[in-house]
Amino acid sequence: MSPFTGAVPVNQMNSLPLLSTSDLAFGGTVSVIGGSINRYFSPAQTGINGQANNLNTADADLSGPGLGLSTVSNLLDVRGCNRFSALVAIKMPAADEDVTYSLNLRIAVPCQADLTSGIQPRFGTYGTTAWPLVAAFVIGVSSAGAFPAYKTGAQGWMVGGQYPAGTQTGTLGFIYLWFNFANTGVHKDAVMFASLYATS
Amino acid sequence: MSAALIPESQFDALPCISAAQYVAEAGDVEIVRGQITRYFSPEATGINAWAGNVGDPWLPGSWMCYSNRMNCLGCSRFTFMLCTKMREKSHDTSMTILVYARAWVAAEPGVMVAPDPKLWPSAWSQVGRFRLSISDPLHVDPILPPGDPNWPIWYKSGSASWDVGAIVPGTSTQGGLTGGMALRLRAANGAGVDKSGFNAELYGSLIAAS
Repeated sequence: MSPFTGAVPVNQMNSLPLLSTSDLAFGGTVSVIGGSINRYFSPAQTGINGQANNLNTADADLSGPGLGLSTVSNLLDVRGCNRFSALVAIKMPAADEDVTYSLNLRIAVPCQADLTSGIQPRFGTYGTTAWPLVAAFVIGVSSAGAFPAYKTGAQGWMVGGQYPAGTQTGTLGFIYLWFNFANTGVHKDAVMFASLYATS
Repeated sequence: MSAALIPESQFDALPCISAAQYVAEAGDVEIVRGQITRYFSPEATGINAWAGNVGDPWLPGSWMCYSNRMNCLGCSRFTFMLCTKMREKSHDTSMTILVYARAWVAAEPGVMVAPDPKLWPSAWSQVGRFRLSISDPLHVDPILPPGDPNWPIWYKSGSASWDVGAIVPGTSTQGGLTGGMALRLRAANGAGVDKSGFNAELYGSLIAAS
């Protein structure tokens, strides 16, 4: 008799009604592999999807540092996941836009209160707990030979990990992603794509 | 005895994350008590008898190599094992090798953008560091000159582990990626391990687990 390993047949796992996709959030492409849940959010699902001038939207408050250009994702359902990788691609129409990009990635969650809908985090201002910093991207001048061209970056973080600056990172449940550029050399004609892997 | 190994064909048939876009190596996938593990042999990583003769254009005097793209879905803990095969005494140099991870990134529908070959902190996230010293001199036969066909084939090896989101030892950065990724090796001590002098073979393998 073969030893019992506790492995649930993958086909059976995938047929389980594990997570009901919220009407309010994008659930990503969900797969269950060996009891591990994986979600992939394409640029179409994050909403950071290369739309023209998508780098200067949703940022009404320009008073804070490094808020000249930013973009906010759709609400993403990452239930069951606690490790993440955010991937960005920035398409530069012209060579003079190929400067070093410094992006900060913050996340936030809608919170329940006495209103019927969740309290949305305020865009345009941030704090270490309102929009915890989870990752920073530094993408230098690329080696692109012709334009338009892309430059890309990827960063991983986990719930309860630590950003080098000392803050704890990550959250469970539903999140927004907020990318903002810490430097001012980014041209607004550049467009951005963001995708996300989440795993348990 | 059952090892709970999922046939590769069945694995690929699962509604995973559009692996077709990745055209990635999936490794040998095994699920033990609900935990997924993947093993990528040197053949799967592509760092397989790789001779360090490829210069790094972005760091003169040094060398680099890339792995294949690897499908690490479901995994967030990694151990990379590196082995060098020395065919002659002159290959037995001390070297520091840095390991970086990167992903192919989606852009417009159907477009996957390869990582830039330049090294930037977030373009290629450092996840590991190998320090391989000169072998034990007691085991070096001083009689045989470099290149002697009777020189025994020796190996040096090491391993490095990381978690997605953990701080990489010796750095101030979070390391690792979940999902699909590739690895890049780079000699850190370019002067001591230059591209013309390092002809030993490299073998890299990876274990990934949830």
